[in-house]
Amino acid sequence: MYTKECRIEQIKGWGNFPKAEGKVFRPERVGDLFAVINKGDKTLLARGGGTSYGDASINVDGINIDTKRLNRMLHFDPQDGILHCQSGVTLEDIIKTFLVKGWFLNVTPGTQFATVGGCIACDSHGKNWKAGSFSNHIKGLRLMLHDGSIVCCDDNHNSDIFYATCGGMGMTGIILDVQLQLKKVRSSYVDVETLWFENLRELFDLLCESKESYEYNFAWVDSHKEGYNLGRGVLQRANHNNNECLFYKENWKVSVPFCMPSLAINKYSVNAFNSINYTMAKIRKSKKTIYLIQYFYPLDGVINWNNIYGKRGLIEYQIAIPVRDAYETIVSILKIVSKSKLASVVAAIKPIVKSKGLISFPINGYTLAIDFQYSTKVLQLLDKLDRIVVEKGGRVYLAKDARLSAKNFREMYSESLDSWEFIREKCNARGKFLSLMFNRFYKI
Amino acid sequence: MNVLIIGATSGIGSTVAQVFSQEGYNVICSSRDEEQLGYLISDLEIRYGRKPCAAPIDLTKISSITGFVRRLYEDFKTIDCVVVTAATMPGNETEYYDEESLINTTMTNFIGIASVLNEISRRMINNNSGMIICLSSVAGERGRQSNFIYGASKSALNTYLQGLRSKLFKHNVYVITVLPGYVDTLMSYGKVKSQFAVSPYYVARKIYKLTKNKKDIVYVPSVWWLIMKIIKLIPEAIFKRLNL
Repeated sequence: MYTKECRIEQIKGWGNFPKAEGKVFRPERVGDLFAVINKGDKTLLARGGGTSYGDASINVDGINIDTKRLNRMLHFDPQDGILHCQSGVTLEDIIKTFLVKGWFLNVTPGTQFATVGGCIACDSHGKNWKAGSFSNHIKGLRLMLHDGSIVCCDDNHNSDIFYATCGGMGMTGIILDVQLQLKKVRSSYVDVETLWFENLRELFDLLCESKESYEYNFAWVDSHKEGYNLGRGVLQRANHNNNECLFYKENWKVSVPFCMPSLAINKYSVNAFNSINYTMAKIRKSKKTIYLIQYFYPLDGVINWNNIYGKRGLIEYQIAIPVRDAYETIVSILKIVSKSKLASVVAAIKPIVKSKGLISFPINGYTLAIDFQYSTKVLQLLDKLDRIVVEKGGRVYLAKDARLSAKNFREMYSESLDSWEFIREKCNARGKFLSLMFNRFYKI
Repeated sequence: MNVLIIGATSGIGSTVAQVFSQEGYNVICSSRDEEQLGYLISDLEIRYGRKPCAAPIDLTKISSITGFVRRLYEDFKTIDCVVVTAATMPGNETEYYDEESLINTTMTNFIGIASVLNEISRRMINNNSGMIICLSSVAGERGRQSNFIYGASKSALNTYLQGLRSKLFKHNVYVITVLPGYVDTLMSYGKVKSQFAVSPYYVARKIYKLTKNKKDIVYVPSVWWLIMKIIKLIPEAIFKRLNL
C-alpha cells in the first residue's frame, strides 16, 4: 500500500484568527491512525469540521488529525433512535439522512458543518436549555488513547474517561465512534414567535415566562445601545411543529468568496444593521412557521460568512454566568461593551444548564455571546471582562476562544479542573494530545 | 440495474458506491478490506435506505477470481455495469527494484483487474449487453522516473482496455477508460497541493454520467487531455533529461 502522509496546510478556526501552518493527516479508515499514533514524540490533535472559532482545533508542532473521512454511519436502530456512527459524520449528514424519517438532533449548535466528534469535544449546547448539552445524548463512545489502544466508555463504564472526554477539547484522545441518541420529530417545521424588548430587564422577564413553555429560546441583542435601551433586542421562542410533514431540502446558499475589507465592519455599519434588525422585528408578524434548517442554521445559508470580518478575523466572546448574578453581570458587561463601540452585529443571550462533562462550558445560568472584529483594543477589553466573569463564577466558552489567559482559565474552570487533569494523567494523555489553546493554558 | 464496484472501499470507490446508491441502483460492493466493506455497506444502507451487497475479493489472489465471478452471476443473474476503482500505488520510499512492490502493483492494477474483466466480459458477450468503466491513470500515458512501476501497470491496463473495447464493441458491450488526474484521496494526499486535486465526488459524478452518455476514453477533469497531449509531444531525448 501507499504510504500515509501528512500534508502541510494553513490551519485556522472559523474566526480566521489565529492562522498557523501545521501538519495535517487525514485517515480514511481507523487503521490508518496507526501510521501516526504512538510514533515518536509528536503531539496529536483530532480536528473535525474546523468550526470552532479560535485555536481549539489547531496543533502547530504536532499532527492535526482530520477526521472528516472517518464518516461512516455504522448502525441505526429505528426503535430507540440511537445512531452509531464514526466521529467525522457531520450534523448535516445526520439531518440529511434522518429528518425525512422523523428524527432530529437533541441538541445542535448553530452550524451543521460541525462533526459529531467535535460537538462532543466542545460539548456544544443549543437553543434548548432543557435538553442540556450535546454529550447528554451520547450513549457511549470509543476513544483511541495515545498508545493506540481503544477504550469504550459511557455513563457506566470508564465513566471518568467519558466525562473527561465530553467537553475535553480533544485532550484525552481521538474519538472514533459514537452512540448518539436522536430525537423524534413530526415535522420539518418549527413554530417561531418573535418578540421585541426594549432592555435587558424586559428580556429576563420574558425569558422567565417562556423558558418552561417554549423549547427553544434565543435572544439577539443590540450591543451598541446604552442607557434605558441597553440590551434592547429580539427574542425568538419556538417549538417543534406537530403536524405530520417531513421533508428535507437543501437551502439556497450564497457565498462570501473572499475576505471583505476589514473596514466593512465599523460602528456605523453595525449600528445600521442592528437598528434595521430591531425595527424589522417590530414591524413583522410575530408568529411564523419556518423550515427547521432555516431556523437552526441561519448563518449556514451564507457560506464563509466569517470572511465578512476581513483578514483580521473575528473573535467571539461567549461566557456563561450563573443564574444568581446573571442579570447584573450581563448588564455590567454589556455596558462596558456598548461603551467601547467595538462589538459587532452578533450578540446573543440564551439560558443554559450544567453539563456532565468535567470541563464542559455549560453551567446553570445564562450565556452571552458577542462577536468582535479582531484588534488589540478588543483583546484589552476582553481581558477586562474576563475579570468580571471570574469574580461572578462564570466562564468563557473554549470552543470560541482564542485569547483567554492561563490564569483566568484556571480560575474559571477551577471546579473540576484538577480531577480532569488527574484523569488525563491516568490515560497518559498529557503531552500527547495538545492544541494551540492548551499550549497557551499550560504556559505560565 | 446491478452495478458491481471493484475496489469499493477506496476513496473514489466509496463515493462511486454512494452516488449509485443515491440514484437507486442495486450496488454490489467488492473490496479486499472486509471490515471497511462492512462499514461502507451499513453506511450506504442507513443513508440511502437500500442495502448494497458485499462481495469481498482480493485481486492479488488470481485463483479465486473465477469462482468469485461465477458466484456473483449465480447470485445476481446479470451484472449490467462494472466500475473498477481498485488500484494500488507503491509508497514514496519504496525503491523501483523492490520485488514485492512490483509484483503487488502489477497484480492489483493489471493482472487482477484483467482477469476479473475477462470473466465478466465473457458473460456480457453472452448477454449481448453491458458496460465496463475502468479507472486507470494519466500516469500510464508516459513513463516518468518518479512513478514508473505504477505507470507501467496502468499502461498495461490502458492497452488491455483498448483491445477489450474493440473486441466487445460488436457485442454491444461498452468499455470506458477513465483517466483521472489528481484526486483528493489517500493516493495523492500530501503529495500534491490540495488546489490541484479534484474531489472524489466530482469523479464519481462524472463516472455516473458516463453510464448515460457513453464515451471511450475520458480524462477527469478534462484539462488533463491537454496536459497529457503536451507531455506526450516532448521528444524522448528531452524527456529523459527532465526531472518528472
